[in-house]
Amino acid sequence: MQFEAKTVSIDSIDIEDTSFKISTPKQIDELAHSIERTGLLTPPIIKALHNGYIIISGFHRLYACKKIGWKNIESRIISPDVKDVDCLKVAILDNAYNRQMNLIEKSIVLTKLASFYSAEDEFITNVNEIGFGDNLNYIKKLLKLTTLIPELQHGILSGVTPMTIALEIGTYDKESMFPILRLFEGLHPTLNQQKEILTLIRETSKIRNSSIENIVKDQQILDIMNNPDFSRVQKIKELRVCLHKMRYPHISRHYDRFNVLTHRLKLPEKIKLIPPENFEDIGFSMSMKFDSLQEFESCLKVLTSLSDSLEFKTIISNDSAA
Amino acid sequence: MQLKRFYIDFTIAESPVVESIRNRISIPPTYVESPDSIYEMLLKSDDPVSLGKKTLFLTQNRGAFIRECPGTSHYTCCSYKILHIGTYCSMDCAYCILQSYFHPPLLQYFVNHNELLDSLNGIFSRKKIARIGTGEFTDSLIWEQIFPFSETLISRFSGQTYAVLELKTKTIQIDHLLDMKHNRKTIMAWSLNTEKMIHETENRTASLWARLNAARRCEASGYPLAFHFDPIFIYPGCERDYQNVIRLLFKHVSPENVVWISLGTFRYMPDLKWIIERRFPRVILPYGEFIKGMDGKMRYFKPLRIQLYKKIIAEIKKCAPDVVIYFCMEDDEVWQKALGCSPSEFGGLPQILDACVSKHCGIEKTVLESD
Ligand code: SF4
Repeated sequence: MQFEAKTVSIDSIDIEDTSFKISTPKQIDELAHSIERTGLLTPPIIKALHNGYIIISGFHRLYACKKIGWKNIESRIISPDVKDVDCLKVAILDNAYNRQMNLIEKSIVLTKLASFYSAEDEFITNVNEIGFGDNLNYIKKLLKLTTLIPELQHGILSGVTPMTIALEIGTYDKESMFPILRLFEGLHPTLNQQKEILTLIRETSKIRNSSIENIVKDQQILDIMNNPDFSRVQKIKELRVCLHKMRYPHISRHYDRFNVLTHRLKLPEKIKLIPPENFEDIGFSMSMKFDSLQEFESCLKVLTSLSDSLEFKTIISNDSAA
Repeated sequence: MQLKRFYIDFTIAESPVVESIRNRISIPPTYVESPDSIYEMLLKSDDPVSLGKKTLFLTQNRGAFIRECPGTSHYTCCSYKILHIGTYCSMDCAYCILQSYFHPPLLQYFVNHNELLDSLNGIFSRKKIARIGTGEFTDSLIWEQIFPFSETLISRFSGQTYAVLELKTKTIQIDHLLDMKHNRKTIMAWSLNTEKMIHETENRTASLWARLNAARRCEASGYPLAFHFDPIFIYPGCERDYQNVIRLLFKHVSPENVVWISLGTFRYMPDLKWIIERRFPRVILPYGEFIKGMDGKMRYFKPLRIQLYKKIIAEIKKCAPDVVIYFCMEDDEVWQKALGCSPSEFGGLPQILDACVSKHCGIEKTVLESD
């Protein structure tokens, strides 16, 4: 493709036409300073139309030059007969060459590219050609990012909201999105914690036939979030326990009951009663630690006395507390 | 069957079974040399699981026709034999494990019936009791619409003394079977559920009332019957609902003709959850209080299972005190706590079920040596 190097008047460039804009908005002050100090190192690419130009690549450079009062700008000009899809590819390659694109920019690229191809195969081939790979699943996920509300896109850009989480929250109704976003903004949970919390909230809302918003605004959750004595880490821990109890009420009660009864056994530190995994397998087990014969004998005494304990019998009967 | 695509394995194109099926299906078939192109087509679609229910492939079974029930470790299995007539199902239960069992799932019907019948003869000639069913990888009776093979099976089983066939279904396609000579060697069985669960999750199946009516008609034709409460779901009000189904069941059939009733709560491989969520977003059954069982499947928390089983069993005992009840894939603790006994007290679950078929299907005690 041929580019003509030429200095053109900035006023002749339509900076409102964002047909080929890929980049997400960013502060241009620093860029403007740099251009003022060292000049424009890489001229923008523009396309000649019959009555002026539109920008293909270099939107921020143009905004910055306009800001510092330049009247003319050196540009690389694409001829008017170059097809739009090829102009878009130029924009993509120019951006990709100059910097690492963020996820939203990648999504913009794919959305714009998709508008030129109706057949999926052809689209994927072209996506692959511009270096985005051919993983259809990932491409489909990326494509959805531009449809998310700005707050979620911002969350992705700032690193607070991982893409998978943003996509999940993006499926909720608006009333539910914001309480969840606020919850995560305050707590900064890890990706796995976010996944767990979201799953528990979503499933509890289904079971209770209640909105996600109502679950997040449950008094127990509000009490945790507003407790001034809890650190961020404690809040996350309490929140997960609380949500688990809401989602699995019978299982939680069974474990609570086991813990209460075990506590009542007053077992010494060195003896532990271990329930079957998930209370599914048959058989409780006990572990004991000792480092002398005397200690071994005292452990045995405790173990033998357990068979008279009502609490112990109740525990091993493993009947429902439900 | 509402078919969208119809494929025929090139190698069996001339088979008379194929000829007969082709005449009953209005869409033109595509002949293929291998199933690969069908798999590819399904996997490329947005919803292979749904498309698979509308894609029929007539082929031959190149593997074993008779297989042992896969069962799972740690839980008591009934040692049932599976007669492999085809795969997948045209009905669409939200919880159906076949959705994640085959990759991708596809309605495959095996037309090499002569080989199937040879395998059956092998079983018959062993002179050992065998319980054989076709409803493990598919519904036993959906295929009757395209080829009434159950007639052949019923008649083959009726002419021998050692094996029983169980046809397990959620359909009511029994009219053509009513006048057959079955010699009580075929058990007509229905999977039952509460009206709420049938309505919400068992798409395109017959209603509870229709299933029970069909069972009543089969009983009138002398068939022994069986019922499977599997999967049982735990939801608010489930106990009352299952009790109602049991009362309704015994208003339709008499306990004397019921060979067995099996109970099994919903269990599934973890992969199935996302399929259900995607295909049936309004269904809440994946959100029960499940734990990962010892076989890797998700199951309801054991104390909850036991609690519901107890209620269901009490109701069955009230209506039909002598009917044999067994659990599908439960451990000894559940047996003891919910039913008050363990299969080992009777020599094992297979022996219990063998005794049932002996009693109801006229199999001589001397051949009670199931393996
Ligand atoms: S009837 Fe049985 S095989 Fe058919 S979809 Fe339902 S569960 Fe699956």
